[in-house]
Amino acid sequence: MCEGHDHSHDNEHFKEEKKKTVNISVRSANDTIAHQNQHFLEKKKIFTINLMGSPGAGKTTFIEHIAQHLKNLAVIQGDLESDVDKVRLEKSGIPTYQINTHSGCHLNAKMINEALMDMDLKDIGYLIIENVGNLVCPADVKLGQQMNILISSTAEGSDKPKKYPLIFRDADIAVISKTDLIPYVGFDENIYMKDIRNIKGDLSVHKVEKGEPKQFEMVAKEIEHKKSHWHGHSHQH
Amino acid sequence: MVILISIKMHELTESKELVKLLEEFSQNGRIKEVTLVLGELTGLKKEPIEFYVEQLKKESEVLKDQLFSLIFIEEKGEVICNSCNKETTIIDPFLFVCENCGSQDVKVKSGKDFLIKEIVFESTNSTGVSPVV
Repeated sequence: MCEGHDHSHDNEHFKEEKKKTVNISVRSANDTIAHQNQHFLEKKKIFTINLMGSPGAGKTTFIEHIAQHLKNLAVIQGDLESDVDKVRLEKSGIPTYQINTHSGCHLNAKMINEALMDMDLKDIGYLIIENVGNLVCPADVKLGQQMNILISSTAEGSDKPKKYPLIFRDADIAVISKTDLIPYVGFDENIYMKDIRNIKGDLSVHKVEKGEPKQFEMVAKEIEHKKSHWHGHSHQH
Repeated sequence: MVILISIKMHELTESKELVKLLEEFSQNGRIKEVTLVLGELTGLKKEPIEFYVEQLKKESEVLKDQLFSLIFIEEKGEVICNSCNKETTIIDPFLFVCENCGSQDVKVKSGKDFLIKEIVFESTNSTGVSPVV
């Protein structure tokens, strides 16, 4: 016996530290599902675009216009609460699947996975995922898309590239919308373009305005070109 | 104001993912300390993450009585230049420019991670043998 010692801890648990190296991305669960989505879409030959932009930038208008040029287009529509845009797109004959994120500021891969399992994808060649209106984070969260398109309207101001460079950096195409408003909103294209070139020198930039189908056709052609390259690439042996 | 809400929401989503992972890891024992790597190019800030994890823990059956601390290691943004092949640290996190030659043709090497690097557990020895004699 160890007289004089405190034995109150006998037969009790005692604590010691154990260190574990983890090195796991907090986004790993999302990235795994995004990879599965990408593989699924590739097998189905559905070229998928993550469409990003501020609320009111003209994302839904862009889809309405681009649908005239991209054959067999379907849309997954991300919105906090409403289905206003889904109703609008379906009026134009575009099959649309609604996701409401409630408190979430962007879509994630699991939401897209569930949508893909639920949708009728027969004969679909293009899928546009209209992300929740937000310039901060949608580009960071992988969904399984093949490309990112960013819409930024002239009414938002010429300072958007400077204020939100990360989303411009992650875009494959930037679309400046509502160019017909330039005389009224004081948009300075030179400043805007200079900042874009500082962020991503080779970013493809298009200018569009409602009711000018030729401008949207140019964007559609670039998407089609990317798709043809993507197919060629993914079928190489 | 709108931007502020948006940023906070962003960290909420990431914090939920983090708490989910910690719930899984806590099967290995009670968590005492979590070391996170937070890249400066992620757009995430540590203060809202600390706040949300604390709140989300309260709602978690598994984690609510575990008093662990979060340690953040900031990861600098680094790029590899496709023009001069040099590896440089980004000075302005909003401009991805090679600090050696000024080229914008760069590939991001680091700074976009949000990782759980290390977890310290309180491991419980249930042999009933006292470590002190």
